[in-house]
Amino acid sequence: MVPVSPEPSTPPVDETDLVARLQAGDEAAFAELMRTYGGRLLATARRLMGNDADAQDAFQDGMISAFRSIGRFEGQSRLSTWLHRIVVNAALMRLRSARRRKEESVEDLLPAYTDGGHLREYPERWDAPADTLLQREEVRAAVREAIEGLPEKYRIPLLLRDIEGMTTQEVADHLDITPNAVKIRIHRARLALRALIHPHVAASVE
Amino acid sequence: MNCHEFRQSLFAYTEHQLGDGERATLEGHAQACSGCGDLLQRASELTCKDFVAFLQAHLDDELEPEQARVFRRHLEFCPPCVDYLDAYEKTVSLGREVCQADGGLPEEVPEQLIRAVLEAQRRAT
Repeated sequence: MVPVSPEPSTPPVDETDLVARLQAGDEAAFAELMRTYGGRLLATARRLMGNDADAQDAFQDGMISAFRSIGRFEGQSRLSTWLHRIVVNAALMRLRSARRRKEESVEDLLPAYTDGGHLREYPERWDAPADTLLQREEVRAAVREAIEGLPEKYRIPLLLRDIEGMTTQEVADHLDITPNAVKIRIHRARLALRALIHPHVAASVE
Repeated sequence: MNCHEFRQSLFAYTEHQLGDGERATLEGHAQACSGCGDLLQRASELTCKDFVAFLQAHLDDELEPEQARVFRRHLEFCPPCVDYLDAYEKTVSLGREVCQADGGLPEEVPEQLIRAVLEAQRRAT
């Protein structure tokens, strides 16, 4: 599956010309940059921050940072990729400095085992294929709510890798943790999500 | 003990819940019956807990060949883990699909926000 980001949200523009105008400090070019690439960047910020107000703040931080550092953009990556990285960094900076939520544990959502290492509860089967489940609004709402409700420690690595399309190493670099820690957090996030979604999936099976 | 009774008792055996006599009967059957002997060996080489710990590496295709082998063998023997793997894979798909659908349609950046960013940029310079 191809991640949605960081592809541009509109038909290709002449990047070279736009970059040249940005590097010359052209404010109209800055507005054009936001109109051209901003949609997906704002969506990325919204996913990471969890609400519109914080997403707009992170978007603003990222855009100003991009405008300031456009002189160092050498065209070695696509402009959309470069901007995506900047907005992700801006969002992470805000999350780090805010630490708004108390870090909750996902321990209660992880599977429990018997002394012999068997699953303590025999899981009910999810009979319906994923495509069928996705057509049920109740399931979609439960998935959305479950992801948004995950503690940031688990939600952010999951989003960066599974949705924003980063590699494990890139996520590790962004979060300043080891690749192994990234893997553990994503695995725990998925186990917790499975438990949170389970009642809705089981309930939706006819 | 027949093969059906063996399978019925295998879970209790791995949980150390059988008495001495029952355990000896089960092990005796496993020695005499190659199919059940194989099941007993599989039951001892990977627990469900180990299996769940391997899930992510399995999806990322990062299991060592020997790990991949015992992972597959565990699936042949343990229906709960077959269902758990299925739910885990569907969880990953559902998370991706829902997030991509939500964020996949490019949202317009409100003009008000663009003006606010331009204003903030002017103030910062």
